[in-house]
Amino acid sequence: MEEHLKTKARVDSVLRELQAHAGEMSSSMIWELHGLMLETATALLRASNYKQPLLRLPNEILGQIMDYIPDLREDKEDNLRPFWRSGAADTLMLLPISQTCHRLRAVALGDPLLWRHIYATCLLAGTDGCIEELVSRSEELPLTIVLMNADPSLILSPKVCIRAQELHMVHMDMTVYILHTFFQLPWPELQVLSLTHSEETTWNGDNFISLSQAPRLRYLHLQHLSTFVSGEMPSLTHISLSMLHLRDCHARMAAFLSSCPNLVNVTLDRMNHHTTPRRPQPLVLPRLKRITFHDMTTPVIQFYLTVFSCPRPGLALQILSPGEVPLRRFPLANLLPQYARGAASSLAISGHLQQDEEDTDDDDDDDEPKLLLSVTAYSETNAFRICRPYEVLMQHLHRIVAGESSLANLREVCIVNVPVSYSARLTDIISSVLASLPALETLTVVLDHSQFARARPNLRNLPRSSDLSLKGTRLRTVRLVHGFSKHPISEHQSGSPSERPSVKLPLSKVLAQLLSRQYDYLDALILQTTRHFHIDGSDLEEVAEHIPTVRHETIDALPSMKYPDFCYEPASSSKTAFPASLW
Amino acid sequence: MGDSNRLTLVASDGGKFVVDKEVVQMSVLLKNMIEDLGETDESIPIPNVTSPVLTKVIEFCENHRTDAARTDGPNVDGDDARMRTAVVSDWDRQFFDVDQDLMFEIIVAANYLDIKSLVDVGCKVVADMIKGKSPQEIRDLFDIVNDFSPEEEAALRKENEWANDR
Repeated sequence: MEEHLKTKARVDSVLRELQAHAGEMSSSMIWELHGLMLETATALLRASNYKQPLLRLPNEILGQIMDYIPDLREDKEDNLRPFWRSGAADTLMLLPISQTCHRLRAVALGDPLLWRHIYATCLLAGTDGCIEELVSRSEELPLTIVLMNADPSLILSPKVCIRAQELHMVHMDMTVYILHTFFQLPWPELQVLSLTHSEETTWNGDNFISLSQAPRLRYLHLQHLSTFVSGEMPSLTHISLSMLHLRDCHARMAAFLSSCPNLVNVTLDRMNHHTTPRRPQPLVLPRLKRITFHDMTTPVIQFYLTVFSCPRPGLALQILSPGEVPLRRFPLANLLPQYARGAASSLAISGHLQQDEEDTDDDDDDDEPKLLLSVTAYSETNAFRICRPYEVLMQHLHRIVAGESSLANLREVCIVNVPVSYSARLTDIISSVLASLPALETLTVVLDHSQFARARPNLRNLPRSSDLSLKGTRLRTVRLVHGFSKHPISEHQSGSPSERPSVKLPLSKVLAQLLSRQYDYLDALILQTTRHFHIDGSDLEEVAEHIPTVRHETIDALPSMKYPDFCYEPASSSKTAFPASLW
Repeated sequence: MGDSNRLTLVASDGGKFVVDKEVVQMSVLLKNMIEDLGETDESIPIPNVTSPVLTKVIEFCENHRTDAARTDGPNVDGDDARMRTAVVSDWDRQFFDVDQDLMFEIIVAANYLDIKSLVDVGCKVVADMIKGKSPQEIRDLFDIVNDFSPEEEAALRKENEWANDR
């Protein structure tokens, strides 16, 4: 310290002398000293910065902080849906932190991993040197590239193409010929490709794009295009086709699918403006495990069910039809026995809240989330889900579920997120359907308070003794489960569970229902709650006067169906999945 | 012999903390030390961490003791951990609602003790503080001064043209 004080006094004296005699110095000496003093000033400022808490962090931690700064690209405009997990991020969000001080800039520019995503708009792509500089910062790392309405010729040089691992071209405005030219370049590392054209404009041309130069391509998403791809695609495992406008659309797609022998997951979305060939040829796709039809009409679905040789073992099929397209004359009554082949081991009837995206900016009161209803059944070999608006699907619930031979041995059913307060008619229908399941022994009713905050324990979903079809029922046990889901998004919306005080869950409704003697057939009532709720012992005692076995259990998380492995999509992105999708 | 399920940690300032072994095993460093030591009554010194910081670290570990099963689960299709843990919970956010000195000391301690989830949450909280701010706002927030050389300033001006062209 004393040493530093001496240095300071010395410098102080020298600087004063310098100020006094500056006028006598030559110009070159003045500028030399000026440069030296600027260097000194910079060194002092840097020394000062190094004392600040943020800059005392080691480089690897600063790098990790910076890695979290670029936002993952949100698919607000539905351009990448349905798609699989993408790491696409906006690395230009790193510019402010890298322009803060010397140390942070050195850390940012010294870590090529931070710059492996290129998110380019048309303006950025036209800025001199920008893309080259950004690309050079990632050194030789594989690149994720998003081109938003940008001219690819400004970006996709052969040097960039050979490093691209993920490429999303959104709102493209180019001829098929240009696109065709690009895919003549080598894309040896490309694994993920999405091509989305603007909905408003027509893309003329009928050429095919060959992707033979992308031999490692695994995920392909095409949307709003009037062109298609050609060639053998043995590497392709996931394909998502949405709103394509082609001549002979379905025949071409079937032909293309036949050249993708390793397909695992197929999603077809809103392609209803084309006639289907009369005699579809079944394809041999031995690895195919998951098929999603979203907003498709009955003839198109039936065409592809034949193309995919459905039903067959090891296949999960979901028909999601949230409302835009009517599912007329679809043979609902045959679905479960066909597609949940064998004895279905599990059945769930679930509600899914869906915010109407078009209403989000309106300030009227009509922006209540809509309830979609799904029926999911699976056995060891197959899984099936159908989803429709609840007011539509509930009319067919009996035909789908009741009396099917595949469900004759079903012993347990889950009713998830269908609060009795939502619709009395739906509640009656569910109750009636349950009464018709001959082997049903246990009913589990799950309510996630992240979505239905006011839900209370209620037996109203259960069949009543007075229901004639209940005769001979084996239903003896009911499990009422209330809590907050542990999904991070739910936690974010509802506050941290540990911060919420434990709330009393009243059993008054259950007690009143038991007094009606309509549920005397029950032997056991198990109440399960996450730690956010408690139940009074006196309430339990009162209920126990009517049911032999009554108990309360605290659980860590709400139960979820344990789907067979073939329903599990490892690369799914929960943010971009269709509402009510199984994967 | 004391309780075999608990052990004593000694902070750099001598503060002693008796904690469940299960809790501190979120720290890879301590987990390895416990395995090496076996059954023992010996205290474990944490020379680089002061008592106030160790108190916070233990608080975090106790709150997240049941998370281990979730975070140790199979890493699905690649290593993009960002996708799985993009949201910082309210509890974690509140946990880091402390002065900056303590916040960064916690992150440094978590890094030293090798508690990945704590480092991860800390980095996300700091990243959220930085997001959307201009360079000058970041300087003001963290008490940093502009120490760029004239050459660096020229490079920054070029970069700013890109930012304006977004």
